[in-house]
Amino acid sequence: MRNLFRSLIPMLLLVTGTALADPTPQQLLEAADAMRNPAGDFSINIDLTEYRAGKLVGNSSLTVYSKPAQDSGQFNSLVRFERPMRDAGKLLLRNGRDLWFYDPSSSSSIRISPQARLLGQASNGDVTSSNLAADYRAEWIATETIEDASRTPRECARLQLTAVRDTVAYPTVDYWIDVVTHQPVKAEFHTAEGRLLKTAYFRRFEQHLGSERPTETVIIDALDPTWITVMRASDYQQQNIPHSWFQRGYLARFGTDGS
Amino acid sequence: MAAEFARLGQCLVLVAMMLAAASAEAIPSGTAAVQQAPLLPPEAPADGDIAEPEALSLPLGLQAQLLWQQFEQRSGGEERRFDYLRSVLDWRREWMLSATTRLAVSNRYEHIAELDAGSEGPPFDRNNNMLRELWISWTTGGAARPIYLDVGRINQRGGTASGYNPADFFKPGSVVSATSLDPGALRSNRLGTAMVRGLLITEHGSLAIAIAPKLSSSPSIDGVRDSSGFSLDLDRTNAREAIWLRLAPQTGERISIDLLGFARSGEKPQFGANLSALLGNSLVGNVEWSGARRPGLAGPGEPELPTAWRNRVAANLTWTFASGVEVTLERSYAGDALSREHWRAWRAAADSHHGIELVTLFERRSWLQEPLVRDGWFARGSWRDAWGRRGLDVSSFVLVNPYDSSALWQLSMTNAISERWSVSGLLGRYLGGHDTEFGGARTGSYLSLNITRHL
Repeated sequence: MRNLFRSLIPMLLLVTGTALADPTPQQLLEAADAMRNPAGDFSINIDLTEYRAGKLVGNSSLTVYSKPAQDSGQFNSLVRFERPMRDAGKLLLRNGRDLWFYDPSSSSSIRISPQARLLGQASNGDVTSSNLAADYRAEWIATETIEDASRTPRECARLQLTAVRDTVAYPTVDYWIDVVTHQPVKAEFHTAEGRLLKTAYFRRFEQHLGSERPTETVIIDALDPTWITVMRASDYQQQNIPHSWFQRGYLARFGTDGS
Repeated sequence: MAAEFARLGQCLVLVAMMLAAASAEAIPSGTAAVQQAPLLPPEAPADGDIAEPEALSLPLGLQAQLLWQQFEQRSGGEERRFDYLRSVLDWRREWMLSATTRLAVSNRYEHIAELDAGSEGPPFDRNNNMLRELWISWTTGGAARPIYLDVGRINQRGGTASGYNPADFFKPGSVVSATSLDPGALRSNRLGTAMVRGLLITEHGSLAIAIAPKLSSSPSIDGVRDSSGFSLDLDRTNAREAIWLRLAPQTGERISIDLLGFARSGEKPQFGANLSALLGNSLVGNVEWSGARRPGLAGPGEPELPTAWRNRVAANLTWTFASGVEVTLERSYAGDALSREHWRAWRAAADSHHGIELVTLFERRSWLQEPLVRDGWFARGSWRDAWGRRGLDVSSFVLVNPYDSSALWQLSMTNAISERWSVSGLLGRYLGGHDTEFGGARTGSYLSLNITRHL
């Protein structure tokens, strides 16, 4: 009897868990997160370039200051709008799901929802730093060969990410991570009903702050695939950012302390 | 027994085979056809060669605006149109004088000229200068626990509601001139109050206190006074001493709260709170409250209602749709305003000798920026980058008196045609019968076209 079960267990594991190799899907996701986001406090500049049917229709520039949150495994982020001129000086504060928007012309801060659009197609979560592994449970789906942003075939682990918090912007995400380099290659963001909202490709990997990082994310709208936004990150800087910057009461003061 | 084990083993093998089959269906083969990627915009050049965006300096922080405005006014059953040309220089600027000192100024100059005045007297022609803010700020205490001390004229806004802000204590008398009646625009363009303000920020939240001195001997705080020329209008903002306190503890991710206290010479102390909560991925809720012992408005010819504890509240929900459209629905209550019965009595008496009293009451409540009747509804819809067009913003609001079903409605559109130029249009209408709050307003509708240059 004991021998029978001993012989069956590996068989069961073989047929049900063949894909679960080392590293685990969650570890793969964490590795991709670490590639996208530097450790510790940092700032980056982000340029958003928007195309419609191949024509450039908009440009925005932001500076993002990020600091790891103490308990959640996430980042707190403060985003300053640099361009276009009508948005210059506006601020977006994100502490987890707590989002505040500050407009210097009214000197007032208002709470906004994660769905609120400030940047055209890119969501607030797209431009602020976020660790997907803290908000999603990753499940292995398959090993697939897909074309990356430069149309080069890449062997990837396809993970399905399911939100573990009810307030994330995208309830499910399909995520492709290169099985060799652990680079994030592609992501598809879905509604709770499974409807595709947008697709993102990660590209232009460069060395910044001790790791190779995707410095461009190309976002394609699901309803209108000719609506494409390119997010370019540059000027990575490690710097100590005070906790006070992430208080909503501080927003009106941003810039006073040489920040 | 052995046979049973054998059968069990066969069952387990069968289950394993079924699982294997299901698994094979669920997991696509690694040798499946390569998923193709679409053709994407080209990458930026090699590292370090990202083209810097065109430098956009704002040496002046100035907006030059030219507005053509048309007002349709009702008088004695007739409607007349008045056209105005309004030239505006709007200046908002901050300077860092040193690492710890900041200077801020916000000023608006307007020249308003009536076009085609007709035969009734000289055309309207006026200069208005509004020094909204001028203050200097010092910082000390370090980055972890900064302390700020601000001195000057400061627009200390308050409140989380959108249409009516019961806890915005410095609002009375602060609106001098308006080109949009959107409550948000009124709050941005009003006069600040001369004050000394301190702010402490810690990891647990912030504490702010402000003291506003009496700088004018004019008693206009309870009256209606026209403003013109280059007056500082301190009689509007600093006719009485006032003290304001706000405690904003750092709370969780979903809820934030401010606790407020306010006292002004000659008035009972007021208390207030702002509450905002994230109710879902697309839904935000806000509640704003203030309470004080104060008298209440009564019917025509009646004395004020006796001083008692009266609350003012506004609560709203803001929903963001996937398209980016934001819709806010707000319910408000002002316990010191007219009840339904009292408002009905005023409407019935409007054509009698109480008519003048009613006009005065309208103007007084407008000056205080407090509603005329106790219950109110407000709704706003806004769409940034409407229809996917970058720089095109559309917004509309409606303010409703539920007692007489009258309303003020406004639609505005702004299009940033370039980095420095924008054009906008604005249309507003007062809706309702002649004996209603909004339908009885002298202005029936207004239209405005505006071109703005950022300097």
